[in-house]
Amino acid sequence: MPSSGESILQIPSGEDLLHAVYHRAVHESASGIIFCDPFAEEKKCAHRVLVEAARALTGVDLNCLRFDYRGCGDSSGEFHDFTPADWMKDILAVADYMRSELATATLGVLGLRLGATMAISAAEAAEVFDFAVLWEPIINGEQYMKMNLRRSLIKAMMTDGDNFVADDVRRQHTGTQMLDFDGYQVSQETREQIAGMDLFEVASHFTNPVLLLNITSREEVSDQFSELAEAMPHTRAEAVVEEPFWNRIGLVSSQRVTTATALWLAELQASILNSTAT
Amino acid sequence: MPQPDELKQEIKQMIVERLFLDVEPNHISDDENLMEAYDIDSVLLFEIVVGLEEVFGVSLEDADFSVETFATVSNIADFIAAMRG
Repeated sequence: MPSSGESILQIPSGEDLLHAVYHRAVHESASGIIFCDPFAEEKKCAHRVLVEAARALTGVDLNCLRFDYRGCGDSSGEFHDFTPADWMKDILAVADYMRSELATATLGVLGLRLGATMAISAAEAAEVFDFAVLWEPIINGEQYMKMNLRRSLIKAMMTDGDNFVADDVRRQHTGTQMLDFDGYQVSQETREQIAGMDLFEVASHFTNPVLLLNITSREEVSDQFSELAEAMPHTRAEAVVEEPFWNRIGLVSSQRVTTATALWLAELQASILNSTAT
Repeated sequence: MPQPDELKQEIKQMIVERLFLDVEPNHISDDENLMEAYDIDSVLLFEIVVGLEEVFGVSLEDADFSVETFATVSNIADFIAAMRG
């Protein structure tokens, strides 16, 4: 049940309705931010963190909107009927709604993992969003799918015991049939679309301010994230030492991630206000 | 190339860092079963595999995936040494 200051919305996208939760800024504000969830099981694991982050960011005068992609969560449709191309349209539909129905003048996006990648890859992202916060984005979709195969191999290895056959797992991931991925039916089309994503290809198109968070066990930004930051014209890259909460089932702290984000957004809000005043 | 003991220490350091374990690396013994001692499930084992590739520069093939390979620090060290030839 939403707390006070939060309301449930139904936002049209295609022929479906997206379930959304709108978190109103603590002080009246014309600035807003859309939250873009990660993929499949990562969304479930990250849910609590994203809700808490949305609530925290209302404190820096941002109206926050969280939503479920079509076929996910409480939005209409079945998961296997949609692909990342549809989910990117959902992101743009929500952005349009924020601008037109909720009078949002300055609009940003906060994406986690594949959600960050889809937000920046969505057509016209640079025109739609005034700023972006990318939490540990998927830089290369093909590599991400290879990692997902690794996860499946490890899971099968630990659960199948002597019956574990690596080739069987690989065949499932590379075949044309639906893949049962941690309980999600993932089509070949979705797998191919994800594999085709490359943040380096679209990074330079996004010329508005970006906060790129590398959520890691190390205190330095990784080489890959540093290179990505260089490819995006107005990007601040930071390393935040925190557990990868998007693949942890239990309670995991995300305080540092939320704090780093809130600080950057408060600075950004102040600079926007200053530029408006002058 | 690090000596066997040095390699084992680096592996322990990597495991503690990657899994955010609340234990000193040198408190992990070479031959204790990691899965049992630290409740390592498939999610955490994935972190170890990624760590092995990133920190030690080895590349795992499908055939390398066996519970035995990752059961102890000694086994992981043997695996890395074999991969490096």
